[in-house]
Amino acid sequence: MTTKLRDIMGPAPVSMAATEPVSAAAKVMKEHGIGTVLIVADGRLSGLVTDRDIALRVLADNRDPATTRVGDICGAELAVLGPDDDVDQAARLVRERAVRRIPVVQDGTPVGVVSIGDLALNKDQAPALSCVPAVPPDM
Amino acid sequence: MNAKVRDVMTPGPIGVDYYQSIGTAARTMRDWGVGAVLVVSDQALYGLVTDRDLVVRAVAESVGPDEPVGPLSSRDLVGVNADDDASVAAQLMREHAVRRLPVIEDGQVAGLVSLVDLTTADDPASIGLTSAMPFARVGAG
Repeated sequence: MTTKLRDIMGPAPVSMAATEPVSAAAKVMKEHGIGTVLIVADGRLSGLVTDRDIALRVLADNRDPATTRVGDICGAELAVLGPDDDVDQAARLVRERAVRRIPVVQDGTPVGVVSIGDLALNKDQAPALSCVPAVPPDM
Repeated sequence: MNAKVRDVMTPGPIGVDYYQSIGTAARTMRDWGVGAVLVVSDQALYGLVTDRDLVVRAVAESVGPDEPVGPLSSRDLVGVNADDDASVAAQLMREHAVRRLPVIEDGQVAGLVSLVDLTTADDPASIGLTSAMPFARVGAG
């Protein structure tokens, strides 16, 4: 039997409006002990921002966290899956799109997030992930 | 055969000086494609700083990118020997709830080994990694 994402996913990250400043996202990450926030624009899930995105796309680029909006640094294309999707679908997305985290969405509502770590710790999928670079260049 | 720490580590650790700026540390991480750099003070290892540290200890606290990176470091590092089995690194990460360990060889820091290095090894289960590791989902993984 294949493992479903609902069996291995982590809790849904905090959502923020795309117009919020990066500094607010950093505070949320600190207060909640999380590394990912979901970005909502016009009532729709439009992307995600990680702590690493803030380091590389704001600090490294000399952008001001107080005036840069989270919507400006999240990727344009968002891969999402459902809680009943199989882990191998998630592993394929991680490989093909070089993403490290995939929001799990049910009826338009984020219910969790699955990370490359969650997948690798699910031992059946580990060989499929061993070709993924330890630190992808982006996201 | 058991994987050794040297087989899964990222060799040639990257360092920044204590007084270099937070922005410089971020650019170093970007340019080298790493998530953590060693912090050196007076030619000695002072600590370790991660991409997440830059965010939660500087950006979240309104500390500017021109400030020195040194004060953001984690100190009291836990190291592992290059010749140890990878399972020893996994055990140390679990015990100390950390995600990265400096790798020591001949008295020098020869590299860093991260949780992701261990989870992308050929067979994580064989080195004692399980989804019960509570810190696996937190932070930049």
